[in-house]
Amino acid sequence: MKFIKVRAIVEGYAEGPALISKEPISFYGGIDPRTGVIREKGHPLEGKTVKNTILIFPYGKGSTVGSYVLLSLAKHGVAPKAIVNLESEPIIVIGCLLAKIPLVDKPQEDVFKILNDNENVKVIANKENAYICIEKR
Amino acid sequence: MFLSREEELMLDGEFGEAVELAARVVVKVAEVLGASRLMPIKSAHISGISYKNIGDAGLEFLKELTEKNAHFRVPTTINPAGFDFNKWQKMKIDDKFFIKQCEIVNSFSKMGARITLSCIPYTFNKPAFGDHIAWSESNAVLYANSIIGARTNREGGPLAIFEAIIGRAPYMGLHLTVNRQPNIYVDFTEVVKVGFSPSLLGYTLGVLVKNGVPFVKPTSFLTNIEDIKLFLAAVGASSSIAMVLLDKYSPEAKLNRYKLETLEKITVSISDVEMSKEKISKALDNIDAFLIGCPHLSCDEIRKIYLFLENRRIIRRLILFTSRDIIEKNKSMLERLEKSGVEIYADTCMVVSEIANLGLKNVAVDSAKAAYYLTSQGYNVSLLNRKDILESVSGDYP
Repeated sequence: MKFIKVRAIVEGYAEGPALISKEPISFYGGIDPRTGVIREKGHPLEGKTVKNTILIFPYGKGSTVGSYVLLSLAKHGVAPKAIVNLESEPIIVIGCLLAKIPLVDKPQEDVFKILNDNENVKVIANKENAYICIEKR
Repeated sequence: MFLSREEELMLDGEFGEAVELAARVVVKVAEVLGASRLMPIKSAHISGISYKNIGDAGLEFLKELTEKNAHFRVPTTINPAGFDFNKWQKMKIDDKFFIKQCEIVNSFSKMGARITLSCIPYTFNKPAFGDHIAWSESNAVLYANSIIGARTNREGGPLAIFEAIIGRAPYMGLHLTVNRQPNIYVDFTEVVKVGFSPSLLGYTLGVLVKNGVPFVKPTSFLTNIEDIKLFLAAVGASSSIAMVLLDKYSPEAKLNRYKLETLEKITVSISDVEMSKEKISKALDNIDAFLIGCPHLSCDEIRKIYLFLENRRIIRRLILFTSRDIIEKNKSMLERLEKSGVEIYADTCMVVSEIANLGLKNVAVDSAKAAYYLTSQGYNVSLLNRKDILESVSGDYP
C-alpha cells in the first residue's frame, strides 16, 4: 500500500480505476454531459468515459460553464467517483461541490509517474487528513 | 478564514437553503484560492446566459436554484441571450431553443436580476472608483478595472451567481491594492504609427502577455472610448488578463507613479501583430455581412454610425448588435437605419447567437474578440477597422 498526502477540497470517500490525463480538461465542450465521454478533438483521453473513474488531471480549463457540466454528469449517473488535481481552480471546485464529487489537489508526490490508468485508487478526503491510496509497491 | 457573524449564519442555513449553498461555494473557493475573508460587493454581472452556451446542464442548475428560492442580494445584470426576443423567428430559432432560453431568462428574473441581456453592464449600473464588484464577462471586467477603477476579478458565471446571492466575494486578487500594480511594461512605440486597429493590438497584447497586470504605453493608438472598449475586449479574448493599466486613461495609472524601469519590459513588434492577426483574420473574396457590436454598441457609437450612414445608401448587409435599453433610447435613429436596410438586433450578440441562421458563413467584423470566437465556431472572418466597414457597406446616392 502506498499513501500520498493531498489537500481535501470537497470531502468524501471514493474508490475506483484511475483515468489519467496529463493535459488539462475542459468540461464544457470537452465532455458529453449525458454520457461522460470525452469528446475534445485530439485530447489524450478522447473517446474514453469518465464514468465511475478516479479522474486525475492537472487542472480545469475553458469556460466556467464546465461547473454545470460536472453537475449534469452526476445527475445522469456518469460522473467520475472522485477527482484528483495538481491544483484545482474554481470551475472544478464549484462543479464538485454542486455535484458532491470528492475533490482533492496538491498531491505531495508525482502522481503522473506513480499511477497508471485503470489502477485501483482510493481517495480519502477528510478535511484534516486527506490522502490517496494505491495498492502497489 | 475569517467569517463574520452574518456569514456564519448564512453557512448554518439561517437564511435558507439557497443562501447556505451559495455561502458554501463562495467560502470554499475563497479557501482554495487562499483568501483571508469575504468582502461585500456592490453589484454582480453574470455571463453564461445563452442556451447555446450553458445548455441543459446550466438550465437544470438555474431551475434548482429558483426552486430553493434563491434571490440576489445586490443589483445584478446579465449577459446577452441566444437571440433577439422580438425577432427570434427572423433569427430562425426553433421552438425548443426558444422555450429553453425563455426558461433561463425567467430563472434570472425570478432571482431578481435586471434583464439587461447585455455585455456592457456599466451602461446600466456604473460602479464608482474603488467599488468592489463581482462581474463575469471578461470585457466588462477589463473595462471596470482599467477604465472605471472599480475592483473585480474575472469571475466565472456560476461563481458570480453565488456571489450575487450572498452579496459577497472572496477578498483577494484585484480587490487588493497590492495586486493592482503593473508587473510588466508593454511598449507599443514600434506599432502605433502603422495604423493597426486597436482591437488587433489588444488581441496581440493578450497573446504576448497572457496574465498579470500590464502597463501599456504609449496609448496614442486609442483615440476614443470605442477604441478602448474594443482593445480591452480583445485582451480578454486572448488572455486571462483582468486589468490593463493604460497610460493617460486608467484612473490608477494617473494617480500613481510606477517605477517602470524596475518592471520587465516587452516591446510589441510589427511581426507580433501580424502573427496574431493570422490566427483570427483572413482575406475574404465574398463577405456575406459586416457585423458591429462586440461588445454591444453604446449610445455614442450608434450616433456615430448613424451620422456616417445618414446620407448614404446601404449597399451591403450591415448587422448591428446592442442592448434593448439602448435601442429604446435611440429609437428614431435606429428606425431610420433599419429602413435604409441595416439589420439591428438586441438581447443577443454575434458570438452567443447562431449567425449561420442569418445566412452567414463569411463575415467581416471590427472586433478581434468576435473574430477569435467566430473563427473557433467555424466561420470565415475578416478583421477590419470600423471605418472601413462603414465605407464598404455604403455608397453615395446617385
